[in-house]
Amino acid sequence: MGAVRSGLATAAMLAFVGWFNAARSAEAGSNPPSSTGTQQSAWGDTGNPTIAPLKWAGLVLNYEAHEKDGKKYSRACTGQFISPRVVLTAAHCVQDIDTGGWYDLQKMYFLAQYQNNTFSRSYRAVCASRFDGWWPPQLRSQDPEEKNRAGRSRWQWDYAMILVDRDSETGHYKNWVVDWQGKYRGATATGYPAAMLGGQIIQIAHGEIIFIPNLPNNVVALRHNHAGLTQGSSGGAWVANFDQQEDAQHNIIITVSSFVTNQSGVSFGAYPTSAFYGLRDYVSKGCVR
Amino acid sequence: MSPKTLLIVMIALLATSFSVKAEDKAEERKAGQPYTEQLGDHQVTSVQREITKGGERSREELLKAAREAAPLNVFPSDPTTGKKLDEQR
Repeated sequence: MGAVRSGLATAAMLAFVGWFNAARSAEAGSNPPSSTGTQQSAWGDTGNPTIAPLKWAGLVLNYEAHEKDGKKYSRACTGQFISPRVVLTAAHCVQDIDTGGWYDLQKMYFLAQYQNNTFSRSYRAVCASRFDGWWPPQLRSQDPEEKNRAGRSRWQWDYAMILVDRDSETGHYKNWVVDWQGKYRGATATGYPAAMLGGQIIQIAHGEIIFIPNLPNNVVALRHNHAGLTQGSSGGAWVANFDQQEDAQHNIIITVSSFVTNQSGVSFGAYPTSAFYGLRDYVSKGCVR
Repeated sequence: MSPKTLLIVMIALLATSFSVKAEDKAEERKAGQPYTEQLGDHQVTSVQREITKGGERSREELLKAAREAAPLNVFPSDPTTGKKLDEQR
């Protein structure tokens, strides 16, 4: 009888611990992806671009944007549809971060659902916009302090939107939030890291959101502990409540990947404000007011 | 010249002036050059693609380019971002 009572107590304790853990992980934004990742690796889990939310993502391709030793190379980033014709990506994916030159829109494509040398449909850029905070005039200042200040504050504006030439055939992210601090503790980074077959496979990596005091203004970090989730992930959405369910509670974009540092397994992104909505509406109308 | 005629001439001149400005703006956008507009409290800069017939890359060309593309990512030189994480959740 004593053994039975002890067994029941243990079972009750285990049930409580299970319930407690489930309740914790069900808190807003803290639950990792459920069934959309397959193979875990140093660069994340392999994503499935045939279902939500990755069916709305793809490769932003700047065709033959770079020339080296007489050969032309293209440049790639990650992007995703946030309305039927608007693709969200990083600002440095439409404007060269070093020269400030815009990538040629005649050669800018969005390859939807790109995965392992195939894609569902290509879209051509019609127009692209980003906030001027990304390329402030002070970046060229002779005053080192002013230049440094401009260099630090620009990261909060490292996102851009591209209007494409036709409606997305697979739909788009319907949920995104701004000023979300305190609402989400975790998110899932998405993107095409070069470490995974040279950026051929979309990856996902769930992590913990961190606000760091010594970071530049309005920049947030995501510690996903996947050291390989770096180059090529730029512009990939950070998604709260990542799930294949398409409803208002799931797949909420909170920002896009912007940069990495020597902190292994940590990515950084802008902390968007309400200005985000204005840009989306502006781009939807053809990049005109 | 009657006042009525004068008014008509002035209106015509104003209309022409606005029309020329609008054409200039459209021309500027057609050229694919960056242009800036005020959006609420912030300025935005945009570029538009000149719509031309043809020039679209084939599926094979795009796939080849995607395979050989150099991924874009940024490692800021700003040393403050490289400091040890002083976390505040």
